[in-house]
Amino acid sequence: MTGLKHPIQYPIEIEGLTKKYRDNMAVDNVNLKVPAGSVFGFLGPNGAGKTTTIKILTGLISATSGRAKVFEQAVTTEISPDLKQSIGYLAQEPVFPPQLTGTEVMAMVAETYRLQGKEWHDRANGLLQEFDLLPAANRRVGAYSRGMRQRLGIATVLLPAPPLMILDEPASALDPQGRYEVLEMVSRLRGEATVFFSSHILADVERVCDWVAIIDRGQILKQSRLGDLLDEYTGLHPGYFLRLLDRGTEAAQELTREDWVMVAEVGDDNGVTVRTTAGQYGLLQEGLVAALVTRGYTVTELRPLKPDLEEIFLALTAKREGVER
Amino acid sequence: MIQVLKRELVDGWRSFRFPGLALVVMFFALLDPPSTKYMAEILKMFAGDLVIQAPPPHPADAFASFLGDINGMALLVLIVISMGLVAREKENGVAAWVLTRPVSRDNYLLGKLAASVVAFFGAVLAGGVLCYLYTWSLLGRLELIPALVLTLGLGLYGSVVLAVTWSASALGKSPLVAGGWGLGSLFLLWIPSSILSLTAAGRFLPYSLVGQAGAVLRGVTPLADLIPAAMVSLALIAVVIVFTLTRFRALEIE
Repeated sequence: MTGLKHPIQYPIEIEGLTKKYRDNMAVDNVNLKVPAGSVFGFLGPNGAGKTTTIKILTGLISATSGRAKVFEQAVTTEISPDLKQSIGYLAQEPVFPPQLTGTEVMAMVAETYRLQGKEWHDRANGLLQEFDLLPAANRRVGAYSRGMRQRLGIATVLLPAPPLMILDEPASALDPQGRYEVLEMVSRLRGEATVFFSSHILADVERVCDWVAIIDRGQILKQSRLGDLLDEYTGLHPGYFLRLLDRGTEAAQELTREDWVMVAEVGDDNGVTVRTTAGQYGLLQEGLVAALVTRGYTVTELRPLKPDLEEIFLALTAKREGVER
Repeated sequence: MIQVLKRELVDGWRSFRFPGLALVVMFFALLDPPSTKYMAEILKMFAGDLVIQAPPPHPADAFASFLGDINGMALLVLIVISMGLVAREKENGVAAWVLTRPVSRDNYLLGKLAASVVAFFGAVLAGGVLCYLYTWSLLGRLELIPALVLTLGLGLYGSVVLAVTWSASALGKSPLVAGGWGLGSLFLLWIPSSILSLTAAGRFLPYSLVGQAGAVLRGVTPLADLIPAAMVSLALIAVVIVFTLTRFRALEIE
């Protein structure tokens, strides 16, 4: 890895970006800032505008209005090869010149990124091996399966180790093992490069990203650090998870009698989940520990219940639909 | 541009586009000298009681026949193999892959055009050499320089057609549209020439590069008469290239 060669705070900056196709507003006034060194999840359902935004960022299509900047340079369809040297892009459905072999595709990438010397050759072989493509390296890529093309695509993005990697649904065609490996690889890039990672699979984003933007019907619904977002939406399912030294079942029964507790139940792991309503969450926060301690329980673990990204996403889209109605 | 050029040559070879073109050219290089030499005998076989008097075959006839066949058949093959040059890659996503690497749009297009021009000139020159030598062995020696210049002239004329097809492939939506433009350019280059061939203006039309082959090979028309048509052809190619590059820079690649 070359690490972050560009001392720029936000490798991607998007302001008021809009893309309209006749009557369809594919991207609607999108504003985004992608911090350097982050793994930035660009999350949204199919057709939300993720790929359109990425195509504008990579210079394949132009915006109707607004602007996108990569490493502080405005991106247009005439994006310069010098700027492209800093970007690695993996399309949702990677396609390569079908008559070339896997090795030749890697060689072409090395040439276009002006990789010097022969080190790239060893690195290319290492990547082909890592992605289980070495046995097929001398076969034409036109005969590769979709999963193989996706793995080769990731290898071609990693080969030049650009400081910015734009990955459009990088694990969509992979089996569970391949998916795990790719997500691990993306996770390892944190701090080494900036990764702009689009996906409609919320669990993938939650697993590897430290920043997230949620887009739906062309509009950004939320952009935040993942941790902050999860904290912010703690009230979505107000409650606490706690562990006691002993007598968990007894404690759950006693807590259920409190006015500010909706339900308290013991899980398979002997942890107690205490839920309340949004209106009484404050009372729960204030009274829970006191109620347990005064009854002689020893609390060994206590943490607020946090929704997962899927729940936040559904809440955000539901809120938006409510506003529209 | 070199990476695109190399890739295009490999692609053209492995997909059999370039070998196919070369085979068509070679076929005519091997067919025309013997068919010219034995044309009288062949006609006599079908003539029955008719008496056919044909002038003795001349080496210039065999080579002019070769150039004429390439102008017809090989250019059709050239259009077919080049109509998908860019349009097909825009459809299947390869153009998007290449253009998101550090390759400029100009270099992408120029690399593809250059590979096709190289392949076409290579095929025509190889066919020309073969036809020249075969003609020499069957019918006698032909002046080398006019034969070479006419072969290059044919390459240049074909490059005009190729440039138009390439342009339509780059800017149009499908290979079929590009093929239509390629065929249209063949007619557009030929029709004015057939009308103006006897006037002074005819010398400036690209078709003169191939239309005067017989006369040039027999020494009736001086080689210098091809210069205006060659200059106009080069200018046309330059205009098509500049127009295409300019438009393609702003084109959306979906």
